[in-house]
Amino acid sequence: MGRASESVLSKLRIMATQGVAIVLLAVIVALLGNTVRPRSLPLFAPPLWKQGADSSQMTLSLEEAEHLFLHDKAVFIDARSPELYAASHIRGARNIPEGSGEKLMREALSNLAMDSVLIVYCDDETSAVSVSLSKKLAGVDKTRKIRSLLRGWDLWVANELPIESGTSPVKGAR
Amino acid sequence: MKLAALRIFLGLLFLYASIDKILYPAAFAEVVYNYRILPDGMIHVAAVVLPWLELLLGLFLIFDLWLPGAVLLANGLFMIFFASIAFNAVRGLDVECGCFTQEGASASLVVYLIRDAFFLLLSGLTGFLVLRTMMNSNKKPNGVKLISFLSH
Repeated sequence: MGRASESVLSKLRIMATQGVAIVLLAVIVALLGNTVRPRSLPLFAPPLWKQGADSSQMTLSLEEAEHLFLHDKAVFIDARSPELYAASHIRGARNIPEGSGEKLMREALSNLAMDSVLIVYCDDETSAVSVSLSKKLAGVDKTRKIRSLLRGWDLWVANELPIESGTSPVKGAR
Repeated sequence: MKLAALRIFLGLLFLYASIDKILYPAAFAEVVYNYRILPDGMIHVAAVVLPWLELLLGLFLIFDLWLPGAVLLANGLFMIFFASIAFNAVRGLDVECGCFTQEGASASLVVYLIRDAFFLLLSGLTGFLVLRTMMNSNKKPNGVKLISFLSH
């Protein structure tokens, strides 16, 4: 091998070494950045919006809802009126009454962890309100996993799961 | 002078491209997914790492740090971007580029290809100038001494 080609190879080796060092640095900074940011992405999970899109069922069972609730992996959305919500609701739920605009929905969805599942419930026997709100929320936040808990309020109360009273933390929902 | 202008232009380009992706990682993840190239398990990893790589690369290019490595990486990234868009153009998938912003007006794949080919040409020229500078000069560019020391 000639002296010139050896020299080129050594320069290319320097370039490659530096390139790898920059990539490693970027990986470290990216992982740190993703860890400390409020809405971090779960690194090795399947894409969030795909989890929702692949599921033909947009509902979940009371047991699943309870499991997510106990593991702090869900945020409940109360689709009932502000008056009913204020009287009593699932602990930690946010109120988005039927007919709410997109602005209120966005506000209610703000500051949620990326991997939190939204569980929408109402007290309608057919659960039409919560299903309808789930679809609207899916349009507002396409990356979020959203489920309806059919006959959610009745089931939750009947099973004596945690509830609380008070007004919604979301302004505009009263 | 030519080299400085090229590296600063490319650096600003990477810096600008990284901002929106760092701010909205989930939206960028969707763009990566829509390319239908990476397996599902790698989508979020790419969406998290790539923007920071672009940011660091931009800073390294602008401030002339580890320039040979930064230019090599820039060429590699532009080749990957170009190949990804070309691959989807060939198989008929009309994907959003997502190169600079996750929302807004979208152009056709041909426009993206021409634009990326132009950037690739610029980074290739920058790489050539860096390599030539390294060959012609005994004085190594910034960072080369350190990395040569580290690599021995």
